[in-house]
Amino acid sequence: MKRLICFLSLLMLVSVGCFAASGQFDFAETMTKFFDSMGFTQIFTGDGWKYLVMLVLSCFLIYLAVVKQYEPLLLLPIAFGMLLTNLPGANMFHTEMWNDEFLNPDSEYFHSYRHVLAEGGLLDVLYIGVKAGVYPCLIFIGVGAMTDFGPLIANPKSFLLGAAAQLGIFTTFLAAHALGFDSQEAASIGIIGGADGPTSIFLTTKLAPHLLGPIAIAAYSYMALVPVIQPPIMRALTTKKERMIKMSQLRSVSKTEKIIFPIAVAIVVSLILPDAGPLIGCLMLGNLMRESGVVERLAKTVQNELMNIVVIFLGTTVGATATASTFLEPKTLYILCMGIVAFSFATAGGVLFAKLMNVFSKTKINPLIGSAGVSAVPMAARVSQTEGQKADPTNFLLMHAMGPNVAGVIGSAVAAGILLSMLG
Amino acid sequence: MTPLVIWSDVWAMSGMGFGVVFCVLVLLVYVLKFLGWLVPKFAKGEKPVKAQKQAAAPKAVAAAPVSSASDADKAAVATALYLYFQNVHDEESDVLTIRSTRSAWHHELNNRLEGLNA
Repeated sequence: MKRLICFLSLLMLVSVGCFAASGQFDFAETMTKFFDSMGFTQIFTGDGWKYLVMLVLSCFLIYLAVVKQYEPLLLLPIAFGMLLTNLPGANMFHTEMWNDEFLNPDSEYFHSYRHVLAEGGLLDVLYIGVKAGVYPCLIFIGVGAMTDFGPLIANPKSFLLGAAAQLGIFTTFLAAHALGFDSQEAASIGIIGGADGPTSIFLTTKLAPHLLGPIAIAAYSYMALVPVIQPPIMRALTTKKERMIKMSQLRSVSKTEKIIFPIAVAIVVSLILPDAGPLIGCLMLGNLMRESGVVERLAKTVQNELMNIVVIFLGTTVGATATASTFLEPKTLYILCMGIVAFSFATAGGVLFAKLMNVFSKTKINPLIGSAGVSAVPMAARVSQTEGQKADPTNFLLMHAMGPNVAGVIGSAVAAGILLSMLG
Repeated sequence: MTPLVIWSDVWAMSGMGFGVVFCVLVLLVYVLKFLGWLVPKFAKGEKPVKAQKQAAAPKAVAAAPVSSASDADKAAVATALYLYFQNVHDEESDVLTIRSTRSAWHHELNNRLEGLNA
């Protein structure tokens, strides 16, 4: 083995010497080019330190996903996409191709997917699905197929709690303006309060694509932190007596109602807000597949295979948008702060509205279920259940909280549709 | 970032946006209530679950004393049963090898190794 290695090394040296002597091969120049093209060289020249910071940051996010298990299904691909895009010289994703050419009406490549396919890297090509708004909608089909709207149908008033929890979106919209963001950017930041990843990505892609990376990371990170962010707000806004309220059992929902529900919601919402049509339509399509019971194979596919494949593509490409040039800015810090504001106001909105409903309603509802109005299915509902049981261990709020929880998904999609129609 | 913000417009957009979300979801509340009223009237084969159970209950069961457990207790029992049945799965033996059988294909060496697996 050693002899073979010696022989091959000698052969290589002789061949290099021969080419160099014949004048066809400039060894020094080739080596210089090689070293210049190395990622290591680029990291240690000029603004290359930014790549290093981003690589450290992406490793930290991978740590959060793997060790702390913060929304690992999405955070892991997002973090790795972030790592790939910040490997200097790898050219897997080109921010300038999207921002300076694809979105620039004066460019000859304005809205040219052909140019992206011809010149783009691997992640550029996969990013077409985000840009065209395809991935979030496909994920919504899977979400619909996994969601049981039974508790919402049994207690339609839950829709009101889902609506109240959208307060977070609009207060953050105001707060982002105060920080100097323009309306499109403020709307994209506000939608973090909807606590719905695909909706945040869908809206941001349309309104402020340059902020997609930080917004997606903030949305998914805070969603994982729902059990940390929500309980103090819930306890602060309610008395122990209110937290102990027991709610009557939900009525049973017939199969016919469950089948008609997605059809009715898709028609009503899409006719009122056509901009919300893609999200609501896909959500309800998935749900109809589940509830109809006649396309079990399709329902299983969208819940598992399709969902998983799209999550990989979506996560990796969204992470890829977090390049050093776009991410390492004060705006990112503002967005992360606004994310907490959005979640807090959304939680408060739901809880306070539940209290308000108790003033006018004969049958009392536990205000803790109001906080579940911020989508984040089913984690927000679990938080309501846990907090309810802390006040009274014999209280079971989970199914009651699932109503506002799934209403929040519809509410945030509706809010996205409104913002899109006003600012798109 | 743009330094100039027309606050009246921003407030109007926020108010209108939140208002429309509320109106759409309130409309859906009424759509659902309407469905809840309409479906039982037209779904002939589908009677309410509670009524169906009572009709199908055998006399002996119907005569039995009704449990005084509250809804919450029943929910707790149902959850416990659900979790129990989720955890029930087949018990498998830990033997990883297949017990060999004698056949004309047995080689002399296999016959010797057989003792190791038996």
